Amino acid sequence: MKKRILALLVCAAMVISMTACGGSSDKKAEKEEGGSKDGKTELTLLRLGDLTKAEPIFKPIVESFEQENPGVKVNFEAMAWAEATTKLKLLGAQGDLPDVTFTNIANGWDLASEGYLMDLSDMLASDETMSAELPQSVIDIATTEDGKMYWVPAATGAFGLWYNKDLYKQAGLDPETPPKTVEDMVSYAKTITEKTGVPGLGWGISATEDFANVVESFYSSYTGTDIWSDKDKCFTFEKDDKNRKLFAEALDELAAITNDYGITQANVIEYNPYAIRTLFRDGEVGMYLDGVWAVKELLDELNKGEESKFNTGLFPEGPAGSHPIMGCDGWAIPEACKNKDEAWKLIQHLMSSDNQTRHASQWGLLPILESEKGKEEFSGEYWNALVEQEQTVASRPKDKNVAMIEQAVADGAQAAATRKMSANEAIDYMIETVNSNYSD
Amino acid sequence: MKPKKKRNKLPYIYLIPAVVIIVAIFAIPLFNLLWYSFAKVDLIGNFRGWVGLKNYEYLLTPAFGKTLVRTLIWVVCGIAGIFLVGTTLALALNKPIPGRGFFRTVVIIPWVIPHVFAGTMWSWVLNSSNGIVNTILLSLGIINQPISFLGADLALATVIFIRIWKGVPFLVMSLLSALQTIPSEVEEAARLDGALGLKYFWHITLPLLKPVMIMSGTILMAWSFTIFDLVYVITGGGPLNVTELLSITIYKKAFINSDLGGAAAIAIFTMIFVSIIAFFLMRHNAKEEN
Repeated sequence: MKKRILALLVCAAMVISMTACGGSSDKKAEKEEGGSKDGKTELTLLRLGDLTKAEPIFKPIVESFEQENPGVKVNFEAMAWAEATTKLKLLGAQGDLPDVTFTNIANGWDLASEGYLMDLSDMLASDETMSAELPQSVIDIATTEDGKMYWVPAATGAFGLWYNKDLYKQAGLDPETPPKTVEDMVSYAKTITEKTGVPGLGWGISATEDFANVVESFYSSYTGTDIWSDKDKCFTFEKDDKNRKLFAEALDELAAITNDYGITQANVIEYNPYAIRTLFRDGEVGMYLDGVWAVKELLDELNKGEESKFNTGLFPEGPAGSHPIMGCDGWAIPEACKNKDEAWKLIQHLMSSDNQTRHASQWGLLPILESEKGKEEFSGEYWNALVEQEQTVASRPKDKNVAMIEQAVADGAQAAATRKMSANEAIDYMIETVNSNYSD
Repeated sequence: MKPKKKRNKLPYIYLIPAVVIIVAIFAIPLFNLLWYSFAKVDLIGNFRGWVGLKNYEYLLTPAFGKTLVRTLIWVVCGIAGIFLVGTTLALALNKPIPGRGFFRTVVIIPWVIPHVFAGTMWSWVLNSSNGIVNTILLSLGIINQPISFLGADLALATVIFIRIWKGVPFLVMSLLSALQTIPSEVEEAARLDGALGLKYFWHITLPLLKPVMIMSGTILMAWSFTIFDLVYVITGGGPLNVTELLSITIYKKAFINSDLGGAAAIAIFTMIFVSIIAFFLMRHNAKEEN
């Protein structure tokens, strides 16, 4: 009797599990075909970031797309930045990346190198409107040396110089003329410090990604080249003595700013560049290096228009000009996507002038399209330099090991800035660290 | 000829669930980790080939040596501090002082605060520009310049202090339970013999607490080796790597360098290292008890 009951239970369990499997396989088949039960083509759109921030921005955009394309249904999703590193790769390996995936630099090159993302350069070239709308400098940032573009740039920002006009006036400086070169910046900072008692330059050398970005910006402004060659898979100062010498000069300047001039706030090693925002907002430093990302946090003051005490200038020039790195995230289509044409249509819709303006202005991004630049949303005085900067930007490493490379840059540069290493030792440290950890 | 003894299978059947759970929880992940440590594996666990002992080569580098020494300083100083503060507090809270229940509750608070929140809270408290500690010290005129608690010179000491703050409640709870098991007759007899104060603590309390102390110390040591989030949130392993512990090196290997094999090799080393220390501590404890 007991055996019979046991057999019945086993059968029941099998039936239940088979039913469950049947359900999931139906769904899987639907997914593989890229459609839904009501016959519509189903697309998934993913934005990295907080859902509560992303949904209000993208919901109307998705609705208008669905109205224009009645045969397509779009499911909008968001993914926290912190989760993205492992989750996107996992989805890529499973062939489950959303049809239109927002990707950032740290993950995008990884996904592309694994073959999970399709090359969009031909699609972009065939779209005359979008090609004409995107500045060449931005297209270059998102394109590899062999001409491949794995995501359409949609979220960009470059480092510039933020300054406090009130402190400029108090120090007898012209608030309409921000410093042009690194030397000017140091000189202005000295004046502000001496005349007002407020540190002239907010400065942070905590070894984080954003400090690496500041170092990369200095490097490109000193040498005129990107810090990493995606063709040779090495630093551009590794085999080029001239670049190496200029980089050593740049690192010596960072060390002098940190230790010698007396122009920064105390304990710079505790600050990453973005952590200076609060000090700048509260009038505790006269200038600092940051990008468009600061706009959202300084908005209360910036909204005062001409009365606002904050303004921006270009990133200070080095011997080769002003070439800060540009953060460049955007929309990608996975190789595994079943509805590539519809996905591209969705990207075109997202990149239309009004939708991109909605995205940029509400998220805190640069107006990337030419048609956006005169719009009211970007009419404040502080936008001028931020937008102008877009023309002369440099690139972060276009490599799947970008996180590791930038950590080596940040660690080495921090050691040089604190003079725990000489500039040349720091450069050797960066090269050795990357060579020993680089994985093909 | 001896008659064959019939084996009773029932005890083995009863053991099956426990064996299955142990295999599922411990053996499978351990085997996986061991396998990774001899292979090239990417972040999502894709096997890319065997590499022999290559992943273990990092353990012979000076950088790893420094990290190991730093981790030992963190563990030893942290546990020493926890014992010093924890024992004092436990002895005080074992006395019939007014408000004892309240103080016992307050002491437990750091224990219930998650590491990430505790780390964030302390980095605010100790911040050199806006932190409350610097603000108070400056306003009282005790210092002229803010102290850089998280700068290169003090960061390790600061995170050890925070580790002590976080670890003390566990020891206080363990010791309080042990103190309550000391029979009152022992105390009375000791008093009659004139063992008071430090003498009483040294000859009566401490020997009776020793087994609990060794057990708690072993647990605290294992935890200290594996703590990651508390330090990572406060310093990220910096500045200049002065707070980079083994756990942070493992994280960086895996999630920044995308080298799961290298991370697994360090994890295996850490596990063996901690197990050896724990084994000797436990053996010592067993000998003492015998």
